[in-house]
Parts: sequence; C-alpha cells; structure tokens
Amino acid sequence: MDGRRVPHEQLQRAVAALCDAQDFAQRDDLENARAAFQDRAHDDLHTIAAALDAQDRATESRILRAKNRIETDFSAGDLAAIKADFPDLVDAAESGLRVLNVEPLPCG
Amino acid sequence: MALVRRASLIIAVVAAACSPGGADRTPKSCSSPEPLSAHVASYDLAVGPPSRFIVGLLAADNCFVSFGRVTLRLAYLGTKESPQEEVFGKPISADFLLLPSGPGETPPPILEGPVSGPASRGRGVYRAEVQFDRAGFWKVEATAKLAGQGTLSADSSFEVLAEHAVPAPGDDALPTENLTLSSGGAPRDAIDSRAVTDEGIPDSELHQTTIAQAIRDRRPAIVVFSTPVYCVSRFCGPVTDMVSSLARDYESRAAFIHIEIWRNFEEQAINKAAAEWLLRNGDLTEPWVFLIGADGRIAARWDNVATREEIEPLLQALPAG
Repeated sequence: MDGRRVPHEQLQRAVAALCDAQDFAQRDDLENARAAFQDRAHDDLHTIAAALDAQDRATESRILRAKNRIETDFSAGDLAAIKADFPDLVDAAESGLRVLNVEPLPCG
Repeated sequence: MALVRRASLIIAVVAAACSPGGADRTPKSCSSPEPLSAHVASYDLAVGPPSRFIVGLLAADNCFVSFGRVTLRLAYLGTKESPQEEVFGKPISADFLLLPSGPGETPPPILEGPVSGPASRGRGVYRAEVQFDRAGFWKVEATAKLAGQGTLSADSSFEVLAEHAVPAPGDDALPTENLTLSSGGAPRDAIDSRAVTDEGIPDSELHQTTIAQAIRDRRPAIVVFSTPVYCVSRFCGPVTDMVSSLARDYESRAAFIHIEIWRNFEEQAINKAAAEWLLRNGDLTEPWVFLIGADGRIAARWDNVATREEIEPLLQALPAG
C-alpha cells in the first residue's frame, strides 16, 4: 500500500459498487449484494480510507466504522440490518471521495 | 498512550488519463489475471532460523490468486550501501492459507487451484518456511500455474532485518498490563474498536485478563493484537473472531486476550499495550497473534494472516488445566 497512485475512476467505481450492493440488498438478493460489496467495493474502501489518513481522520473513521457494521451484518446474514446500514456507508464513502476532490458517480 | 504515524499509508489519488464514463456494474469474472502482482504480507522478517514467509498474489481488477500451490524463488539484493546483482536460489513450494471467514459465514469451497477469482470465492496468501541468512533487501518471485490461464510470475522486494524488532519465538513475553473489562476509565472502544456507547463489548471473553497476569499464573496465552474496525492490511480477515472461536473451544488450556490497537483512532493515539509490543520507530504493523508458553516465553507468532489451522494444533498440544 506504500506510495500507490490510484486513479479517480477506481475509487468512483468502488463507491458505485456500494450502490449496486445496496440495490441488490433492497431486492432481497443477499448473495449478489455480498459479491458486489466484497469483490468490487471492499478493497478500494480501504484505499479511500488510507488516502484520507493524513487529512481527515474523522471521515476515515466514519467509513471504516460503517464498513465494519456492514461486514458484521453480512456475517450474520441479517438482511434487514444490511438494508438499514447501507445508506450510511454509501454516504460516508461519498463524503470521503469529496474530501479527496473526487466527484462520486450518482447511485442508480 | 502513544502517538503513531502510519507511514505506510501513502496514497496519491490522481485523475485518470481518460474520462471516468459509467461504472462497471457487471460481476467480476477475473478471466484475465494479468498483470499479476506479488505483495509480501510478512512483517518483521529477520536473519535467523526458518520462519513463516507469506505472499499474496493479486490479479487484475482486485481479483485474488487463491488455492493450490505456487513456487517461490528468493534473491538477495544487498544493502542500500552495497547493492548486489540478484541471483535466485532454489524454488520453494508454498501452500495456500485461506483467510478466516466471519462468524456465521460459510467458507468458500476449496478449489484445486491456483485460480484467479473474486474475493468472495476465497482469498488468502501463500506460505513457505524460509530462512534468511543476510540482512538487507531481498526479492521474491512467485510463479503460479493458473488453471486455463497459463503460467504467470510476479515479484516484489522487501527488507530483512539483522534481528526482529517485534518479540519473536524464544523471547520473554513482555509482562504487559493491557486493558480489560475491569479497567477503570478506559474508553470502551479502546478495549475493542467495535464497541459502541450503548452496546456491550464484543468478544468479552477476550478481555478478562492481562498478559502480565497470565505470566504470573504460568498459564499459556494466545494474544491477538488487532483493530477489527481500523485494520489497514488488504489481507485483513476476521482474526479476532477466529481467536474468539478458539477461546470457546480451548479455554481450559490457555488464556485468550485481545488487545485493541487504538486508544483513539481519530487522535492517532494507540493503546500502551499495543505500543509496547508493536510500535517500533514510529511504525506499527497489525494484526499479530502470539502464543505465550507457560514459561513466559513466546512459543509462536503469526503476522498479518493467522488461521485456525495453524494455531489449533499448538493449543491441542497444551495440557488441559
């Protein structure tokens, strides 16, 4: 992770994948929600958090806490909690992108 | 309380060469693994007896190479002052360590591999026992025969120290008075970063005693240093949950202790216990798991990726108390 250069597009795609995961969850499709989150969003949420590390620890913390809640929800297979918790993660990740001067793609 | 600067977190966000266009909303196929990249996942490598060396292999588009075995070759590159031309040693076969699943999650099916696939189909690292005979910089070349995708190689450079910076097998364990559920005045999330104001502290069985007390009692201890919320390693798995599951099965044989890294994440303050064990020259690596023997010495340690399969046999060898 040291010294990596990450294009805007990669981070925008990760946050868009969160929107997709949220959409799948709203349609009660737990497995596709999990796959979208784990395969297309998870790693770059860490990247966004790491990019925020030196400039906005509060937003970094908010992203990582919201991510951890969703991971706990997925571990428990708790679809209602996933539906309830996803909006905060999407909002936190979008806020993080804006701190990094990257405009998030619209959800949906 | 100690302040830490995580120097490894240097990310430059740069504008893409082309316009972003639409987001890719298709499921990952991971059908085109190139370029493959190797990431040394070991911390605190040093000259000494053979020890665990772990490497993660990432394919294009955040896909992981998983399962089966890969071949590693190592070359010494010299030091900053005295670089050497690389000469690779003999090939070493490395097996796969699957990252633990979360509680309630079904582990992915084990494939013959190695295969390139998305994280949801299993991710982990490749492990070999390796002995380093010289301090300085080294290179590892990892070669994977990917089913239906040919043979691909990737390499990565890393540093080997003259001696370990973090307590290692054979060393006396530090008699640390870590936070427990009965520590007065400690913020709840300094005991476990998952703790929130109005709920209990997760895995409370891991917060009952201190390393110092286990040493005084001559009781073996498994100690996990981790931050479940704020882990930064891309190979992070639910290591704290895994240790908690071991605690339920082996509580008669050892004490089980979780030490949260952060006292206050936003203020970059780490817990004193974590600092004593892991903070070196302003840098801290996590997660770590240590097995402390009844004699108070470190019997084993696992850096970054720790699996039940590696730890459980050592617990089974301990006498039931």
